[in-house]
Amino acid sequence: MRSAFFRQLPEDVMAQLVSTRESRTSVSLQSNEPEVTVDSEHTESAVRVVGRGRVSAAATTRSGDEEGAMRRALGALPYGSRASYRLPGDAFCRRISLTDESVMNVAPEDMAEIVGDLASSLRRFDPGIRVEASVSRLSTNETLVNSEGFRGSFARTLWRAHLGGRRVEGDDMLRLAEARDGCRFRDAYEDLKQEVRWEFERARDVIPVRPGRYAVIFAPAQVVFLLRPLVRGLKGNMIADGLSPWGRKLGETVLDPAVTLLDDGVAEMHPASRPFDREGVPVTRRELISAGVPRGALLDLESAQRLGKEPTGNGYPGGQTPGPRPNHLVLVRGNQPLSDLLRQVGDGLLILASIGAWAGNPFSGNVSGTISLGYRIRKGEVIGRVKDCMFSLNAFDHFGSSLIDLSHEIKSSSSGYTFPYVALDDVVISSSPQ
Amino acid sequence: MRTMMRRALRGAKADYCELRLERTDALHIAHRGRAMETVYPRQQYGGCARALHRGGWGFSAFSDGCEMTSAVRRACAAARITGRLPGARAILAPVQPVEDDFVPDIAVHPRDVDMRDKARLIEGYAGTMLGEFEEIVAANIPYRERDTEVYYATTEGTSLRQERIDVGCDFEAAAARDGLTVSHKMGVGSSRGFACMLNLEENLRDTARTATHLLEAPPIRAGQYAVVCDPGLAGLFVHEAFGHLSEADNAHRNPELARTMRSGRQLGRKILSIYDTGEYFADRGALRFDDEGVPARSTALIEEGILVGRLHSRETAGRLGETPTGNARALDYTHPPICRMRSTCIAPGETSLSDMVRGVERGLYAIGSRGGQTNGEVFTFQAGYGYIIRDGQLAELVRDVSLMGNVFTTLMQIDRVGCDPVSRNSSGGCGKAGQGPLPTSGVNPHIRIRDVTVGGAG
Repeated sequence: MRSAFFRQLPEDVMAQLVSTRESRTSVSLQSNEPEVTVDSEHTESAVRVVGRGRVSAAATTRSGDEEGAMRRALGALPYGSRASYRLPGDAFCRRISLTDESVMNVAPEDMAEIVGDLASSLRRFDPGIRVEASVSRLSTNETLVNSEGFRGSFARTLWRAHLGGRRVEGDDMLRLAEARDGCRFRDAYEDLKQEVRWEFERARDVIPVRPGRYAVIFAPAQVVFLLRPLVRGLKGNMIADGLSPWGRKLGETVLDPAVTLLDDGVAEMHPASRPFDREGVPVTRRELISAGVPRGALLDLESAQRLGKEPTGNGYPGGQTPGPRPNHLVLVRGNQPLSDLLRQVGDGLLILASIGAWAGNPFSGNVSGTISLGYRIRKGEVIGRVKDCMFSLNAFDHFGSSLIDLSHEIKSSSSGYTFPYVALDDVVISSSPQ
Repeated sequence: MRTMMRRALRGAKADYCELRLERTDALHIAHRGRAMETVYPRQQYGGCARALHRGGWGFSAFSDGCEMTSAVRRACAAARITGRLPGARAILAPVQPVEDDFVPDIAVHPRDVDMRDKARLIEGYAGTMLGEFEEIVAANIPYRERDTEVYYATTEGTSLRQERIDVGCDFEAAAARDGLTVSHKMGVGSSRGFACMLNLEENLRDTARTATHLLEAPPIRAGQYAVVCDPGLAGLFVHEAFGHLSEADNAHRNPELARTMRSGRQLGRKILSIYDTGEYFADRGALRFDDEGVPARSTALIEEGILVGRLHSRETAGRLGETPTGNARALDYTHPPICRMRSTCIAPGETSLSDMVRGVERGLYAIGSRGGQTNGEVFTFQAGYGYIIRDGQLAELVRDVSLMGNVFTTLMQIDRVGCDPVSRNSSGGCGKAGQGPLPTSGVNPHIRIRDVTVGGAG
């Protein structure tokens, strides 16, 4: 028996409704001055219909317009993509803690105080830095119901702080920032302050770099770009379309045995966790690459049906980039601390931030980025900043035969990763004449 | 609607307050691989209030039109919090209040083309690319349209209603052979409606053909090259390498940066002039009024190599004692307006493409754009592909072309500007401060840059 909302559906059509409500407050400071206090709310309902061999969707931000969205989705169905899968029925979804009530109880005035504390710590360290800082809190409620009996909902809180700044000396414009986020409230950020101070301190001296091949340590936020071609090769739609370089190599050793990659969408109090995906399929923790062997594909309902497999809780239809995507990638850490990894590299580079590494040809595995915050390593020590240079590597080749090691330290982000520092050998560095 | 907005603003307890209400009917259609992937209509109705009080900003967005009064109250309360913090001193440059109702001339309105016909057209274009060569394994076509009506009112008396149309589409052909997959893409876009989507078959065959040729091309070798950029890449270059730095919200609170970007500084040779305009009404950067109600006039940024202007919001103009330029833009009602580009253009010069190439001993002719980014001082961008230039002649095809440079040195290294400006649009746009993709465009000629760093195989 279909619930009231779905009774208007034709018999041969299934549908789902995803409703989200977000409440966001933030206080920010730019260039040493208060910037803006934001207090916003956002609601959205997204309908998806499947039937008659096709699928379509519609969304609305108008409250009470869910039936209108359903009508528009049904109107689009004759021209939608071909699909013959079924929406899932009721399923067991793991209960995960994702909220901290104290996040939403913090007064904006107290948020402003935390921002002031972050900023003043950096200003005291170097008055020449134009400081940027912010804290924000976000509360999300998401409900998914479908005509086949699935009903699930969850709430999540996100607390985020960021600190950075810009130091301009003539034409030298150094800008850097770091952030911390999580489901829990925190008001003490000594680790964040120390990290940003360290980055500014070590960036004072600019060290020329000659073009060549170097051992490079990539910070966790950069590992996102390096892994992108590998993850793309694991997407079910890429495999089904014959575009994955690993389509026929699942189960073969193609990467260094130190590479083990998980999708862990159910980690407690991690802001990228969730009990079910946007198709009503339970999210789990699973290995995608085990000791260098690609094993698990990311499958939404559509690609699972095409490949004759079960969906994996990675379905996120209807967005700007539809198709399966990971929930929370975890690259299993190594054993040695970063300080030992620096010594092992000896002579090379440490890259903390880059620009443009997201672009380029997504199929070939080539990744190139301009280094926007990088440091020279000599004799195992960070001796100064590098600038006006870029790195190039091939993710498939470098994670196959040029992996030096992974650090024990990890960083985690609400954007969906928990990664260690990764050291790769033989990375091409090009640089402007210096 | 205007009366309701005025009434809501009357309750504003702040030095200044504005309301922006938006109704957008968006449509996203995507073909991926060998099949249609998405037909996705989205209605985005909502609004926001922004208030300024004692030098501090407050902002409140909402998803339904009936919450105007509450949003004004929340924005004013937020502004009072910011205004109490030490150092709050935002001010607005004065502008004349305007009342207007702007409806652009639309050649083929997207809402007059049936969704079925759009889906069939895109499916047909995918078939054109997939059917041309057996190596083409995927046709990826994201199509996006936005049909927007914006109401805007301020406590200063401005009252505007504007309609905006934005259409954009990319066409990517992926070719595969012997385990190697490469791709090439082209894009179209317009603020004049759906006509840009018509009669593209020949261009798509060329796109597919180029993708198959790239299967034979090696990755470029890293090094220093003299680079001739085609108009699309020149547009990306001027956007990333200079346009972002000319956005005044970098400098208005940063005296060191304002000194670096001081008016009168020589940044390029005499052949280089750059401007930004909202007045190219067919292109995606077209704008009549920005999101602060300021007319989007044409703004000279570099004239004959000399820095002469920057892109302002009312706040940045107020702080720097300059005039607003109509560059305050918000992605949608969930964001406050910030300084953004519109159509950013290099004024045409006198050199033909063949003369540019003839003067290069060892270089690269870089074609097409796959995206770029800047951090202010350094920029990077990706070309679709390129041809090596050897002794003044185009030689072998190369792929995976990434270029980078320092803004200040690279502008000075532009030694030729072409006589052949071309308008380029795509489905993408510009991203900044979490607001993207915002429609931007450019009308640019070929340019030649000496000593560009190119990444790639060693």
